[in-house]
Amino acid sequence: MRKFFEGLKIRTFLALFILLCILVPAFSAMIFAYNFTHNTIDTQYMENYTTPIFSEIDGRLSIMLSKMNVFTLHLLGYSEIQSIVDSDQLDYAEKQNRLQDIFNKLMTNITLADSIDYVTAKGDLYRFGSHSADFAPPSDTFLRSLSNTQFSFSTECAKKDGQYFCIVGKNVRSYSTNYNLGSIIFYIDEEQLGATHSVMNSNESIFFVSNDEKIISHPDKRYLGSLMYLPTEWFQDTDVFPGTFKNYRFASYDVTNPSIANHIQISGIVSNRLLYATMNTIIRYILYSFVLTALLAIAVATLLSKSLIYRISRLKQNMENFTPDFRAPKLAKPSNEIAVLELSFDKMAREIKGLISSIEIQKEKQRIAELNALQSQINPHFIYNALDSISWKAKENKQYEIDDMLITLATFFRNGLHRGETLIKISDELEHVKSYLAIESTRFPDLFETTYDIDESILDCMTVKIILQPVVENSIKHGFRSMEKDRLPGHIHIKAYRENDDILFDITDNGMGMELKDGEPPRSSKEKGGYGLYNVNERLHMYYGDGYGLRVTSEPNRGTRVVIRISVTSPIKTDPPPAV
Amino acid sequence: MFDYFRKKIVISVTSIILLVLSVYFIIIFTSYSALMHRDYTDKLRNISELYSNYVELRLNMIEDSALLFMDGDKLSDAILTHSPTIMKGFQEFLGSNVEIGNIFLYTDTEAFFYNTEYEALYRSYISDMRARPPAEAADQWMVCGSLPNYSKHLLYSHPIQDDQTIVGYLVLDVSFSSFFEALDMYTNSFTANTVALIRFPDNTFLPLVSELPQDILKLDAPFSSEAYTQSSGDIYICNQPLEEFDLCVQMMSSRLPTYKNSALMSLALLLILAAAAVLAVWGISSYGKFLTRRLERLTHRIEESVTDYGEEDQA
Repeated sequence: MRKFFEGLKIRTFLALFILLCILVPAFSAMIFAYNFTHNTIDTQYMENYTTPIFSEIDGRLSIMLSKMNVFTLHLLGYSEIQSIVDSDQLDYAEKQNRLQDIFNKLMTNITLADSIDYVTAKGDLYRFGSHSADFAPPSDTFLRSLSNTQFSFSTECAKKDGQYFCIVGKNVRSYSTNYNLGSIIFYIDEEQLGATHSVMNSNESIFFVSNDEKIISHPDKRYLGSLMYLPTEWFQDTDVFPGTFKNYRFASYDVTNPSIANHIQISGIVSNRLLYATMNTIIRYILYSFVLTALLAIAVATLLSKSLIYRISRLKQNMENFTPDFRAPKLAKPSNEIAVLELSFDKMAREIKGLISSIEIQKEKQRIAELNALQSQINPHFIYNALDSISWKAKENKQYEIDDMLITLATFFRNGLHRGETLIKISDELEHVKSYLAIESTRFPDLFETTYDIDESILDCMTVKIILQPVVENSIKHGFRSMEKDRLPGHIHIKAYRENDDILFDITDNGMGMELKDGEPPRSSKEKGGYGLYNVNERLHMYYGDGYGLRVTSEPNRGTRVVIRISVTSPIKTDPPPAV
Repeated sequence: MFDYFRKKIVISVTSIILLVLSVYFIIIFTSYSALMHRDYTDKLRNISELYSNYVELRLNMIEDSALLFMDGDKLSDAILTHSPTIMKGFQEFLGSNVEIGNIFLYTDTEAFFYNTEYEALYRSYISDMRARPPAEAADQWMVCGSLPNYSKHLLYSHPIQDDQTIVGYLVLDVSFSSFFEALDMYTNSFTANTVALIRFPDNTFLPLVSELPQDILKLDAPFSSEAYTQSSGDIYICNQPLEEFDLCVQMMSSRLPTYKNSALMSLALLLILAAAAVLAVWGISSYGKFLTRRLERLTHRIEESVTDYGEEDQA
């Protein structure tokens, strides 16, 4: 596990962690909400959907029966019916007319049935109402089944112009006179029994009424009069009652009205789609929200993980892309630990950069030293022999001035090379500079003159060679050559003396002078003073250490003063000088 | 050393997780509550429709019965001649109409009661009606009686005419036991928290239940000929007008019992949220510690390397 975490990228882990912590509880909540809502609807299914509709149909049936009861009771109140029916003087048509008045009055006052049949005890049929003539006479079987105390529903339905009527009948007998009035048959619009609930969609739910398993009221009129059925395509296992079916639910309710002789049953089939329609809408919203939440979680996980490890990523990137040119950005405020870590890294980077820079300088110095060493390997005897041959030729041709110059040049080289030794006596160094000045005065007559003030006690002291010649070369080259002719000849004064354990060389000229930066000798050959003074200073530093070297003071048009300080004691290094 | 960094990660990650989850859970809870609310109002509306249909049918039947009773000239003749047959007629009528508990009639001068049990109440009603202009004393339904013992009576007054002249009024006192018997069919756990009543134009009302909670009585649900459903606090009122009778059936139900499911849902969501919070804090804290340990190690290594170099350099 630990290896797994160590191998996983921080950002990946954070993103996955945030995603999981959001998606798992969100998914759990969604599943819970679905089941909870489903359960709520399931437990309230009967109360919410089925029972109210059963109650409504039962209520309508109850009202209908009450009206029929009232009708028959009022019918008994008309004593003339008996005399009309039993009259031998009236023919059938007259009896029909007289009874018509009574029945029409009752039918007007009690809005119940479209048509009513009255069958006397003798079996005469009188028909009343708008459709009475269109219906087949009631069957003997139905008439025989009628009760004196309860209403009986026929299993058949009467039909007229696409309208269906339930047939309900009862024998009517006056208990006070014990007169058997006969039977009353009501033709009641079948739709009075049916009820559609306001929340129910007829395509998704069916409620129907059956009498002894024959349907007497149904939204689809094709099923009227047929046996009560459960569509096989809906219910594979009809033994389960009223359990939950795959896509539909079935429930039935037995009407227990004491006024009814038959077994009247109200049945309902409701599709799960209808039951869960509202819930599915809500679940859909919740599902969409879950998808949105998931997208939000991904975005949040990505952004947050990125922002949290931004500095670590930057540090890692800096480490990977580290070069000597690396420039650490300045942190405005090291406010946290990552910033401190970055500072540590920056410090380390600076140290590494310094080391690399130092190594490069050392390499450059080594390269120059190697070059100088190679140059030093030129055989000085060849130069001396060549100069000696030229000198003899000059003497043969009586060119004594040339001969003098050659001798001076040979002296200059001899002191300069000095058999490759690093340290020479001060007297040799002074002789070397004098040789150089003699050559230069021959080259540039009347350009300058030189005076010396030398403490003779120091002549045998040792010094690093060729430290004066570059100074006077600068005086001649930059101090006098460009000077106005009326100021010529220029003057160079060389003073050498001891100060405690140090020896000082003070070289002063009254040449053109120069602009100096903080008294430091110029470092570039392009500047006045060139690389020579810088080189001398470096060598003195290297050989004698800090506190020794060269100091320059100069004023433009006034002249330059160079003071060289060396130690009387031997220098700390005696290796060959790196550069001249 | 990296405590701030670790805390930052823990707080940021936990906060964002809880924020997103809270938003999602609020959506779930709101959706569920909306479903429950819709289901509740649908049920209330359906039940009120059932009640109003039932009341309408019953009142229609009673009116039909009254019309049938008044049929012909027998009653008006009997009234005019002070015939004792009136009582016989009352007896027959009550025998064939179980919904009617009592019956009486009155003229400008006389009154005939079949049952004298509530005679005092009826006489009070009669004197009140006689005081009204004839136009207002037409065919109408009204309630009389007082609330404390809920002995209210639903009365139907029908004018008795003789040659277009009103000679008196037939008044039917509806039998509650019979009238409301069928309402038991509608009883379920929902209607247990519901009160149904018939509201009259003068804002008097007749409760269709035996016990009427006092908080329901305080509600201001005046008579209205418009169908509406509205809420007053946790009580919802559904009004179903019966224009034919100039009445309205009102259902009043408290939503408090339905809050149980919402409370369960919110509790479950809170538990899931709490579990998520605990797991998130634990997980990210552990990882934060693991992460900071590695960062601390790295820092020490960098610092040590810099220090070592510095010491070597000085040496």
